Amino acid sequence: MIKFLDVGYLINCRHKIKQEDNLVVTSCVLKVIRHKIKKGLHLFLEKFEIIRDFVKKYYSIWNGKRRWRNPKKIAEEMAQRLEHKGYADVAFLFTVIARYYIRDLEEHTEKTLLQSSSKVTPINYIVYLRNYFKKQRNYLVFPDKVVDSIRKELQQNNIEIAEIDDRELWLDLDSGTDREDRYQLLCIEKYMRNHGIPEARFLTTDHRLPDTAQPFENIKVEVVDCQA
Amino acid sequence: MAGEAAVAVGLGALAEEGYSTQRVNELVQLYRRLQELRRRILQEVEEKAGEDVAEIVSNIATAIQRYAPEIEKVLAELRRLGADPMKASLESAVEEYAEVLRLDIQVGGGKTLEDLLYESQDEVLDKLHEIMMALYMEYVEINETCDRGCPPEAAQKLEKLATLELATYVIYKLFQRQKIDKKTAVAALNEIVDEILSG
Repeated sequence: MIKFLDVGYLINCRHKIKQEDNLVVTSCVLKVIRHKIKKGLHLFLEKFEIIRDFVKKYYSIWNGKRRWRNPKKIAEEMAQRLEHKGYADVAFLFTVIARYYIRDLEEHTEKTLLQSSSKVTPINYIVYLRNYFKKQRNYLVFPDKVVDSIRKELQQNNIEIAEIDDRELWLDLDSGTDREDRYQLLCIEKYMRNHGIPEARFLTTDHRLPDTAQPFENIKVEVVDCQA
Repeated sequence: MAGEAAVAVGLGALAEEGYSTQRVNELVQLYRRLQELRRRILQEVEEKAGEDVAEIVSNIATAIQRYAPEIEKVLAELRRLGADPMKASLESAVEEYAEVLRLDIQVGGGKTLEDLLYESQDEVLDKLHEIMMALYMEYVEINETCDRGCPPEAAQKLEKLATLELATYVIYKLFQRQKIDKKTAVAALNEIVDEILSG
């Protein structure tokens, strides 16, 4: 049976995504990622001083080189910290940076911050990121760079990206906390209808999604915990 | 020519003056001469500086113009000895900022710059850190494009960065001497970091 992936699964379960599983990612999922990255970036730059203070407090328990880490590890730790502090959108940005190879950002980090060592002090990394996003207004194109990088990786792994004409889908939705989930479900429903698919699975990491998906009877939601 | 003079005295100014890094180069005497000229420029600008970044930048440019003939003499000597002053200044600035950004420089009381950044809530220090990281990022990037001589746009950008580096140091000194308050210093430094990263 065809299995669609949601945003959470795509980001958190990257290591589980294999070609033989008959997996499909809709373009709507990528659109949601772009939207969330844009929001996360905006908040990161707006609340930078507060976020830097989190970094200071969290890492001040270590001294000197014991504080130094690989940037991916710092991004992972920051994502957890920010989630815990209620900055879910910024946490999402850091999770994506931790899990995926974002072209340009990674290359730039290698050339500058990681020139002499594979580990960096977190305060340098957070300031580096802020400067990278602000540099020549990189924040405007970064969401597209993220989506391009994820797209490329999916293509390399031969995962189908289903392009959905979503013009009316997003606009028809009223606001609400599950708006992005309903949008993804509507996209899947449209794809299934257009391709005559009677039933499909929807893989997610979100425990609330089965409730949102109840009206979509032919989409079976499977909640997977990839963090464990 | 004033552009080259600005680069010669400006690049690495914050690292050298603020954190006492030193150019590792056999032409050290000539660089000391440039450092002396830089200090005279900084002193002159500092004496008549207000709070406005644009005004400070303009005063720096004027002072560099005035000192350009003296700076040019040093640059001519460097060229005679086979050095490319702009490339040397750039490479040196990259090394110096890489050194400062290791953050292991002792800042007194047995503490390193890294300790201070994590422990303190010093907004001025935070802004200086942002500026040094921004300068380092820019210099690394320009250094790549200047591998076989700097194209005009890179040279122009270096001139701008050199002036902003000197302006940062002037603002910092004004704050240290309590000629401007913390809020004004942070606002001015914020303006500088945005300008550095603007392109």
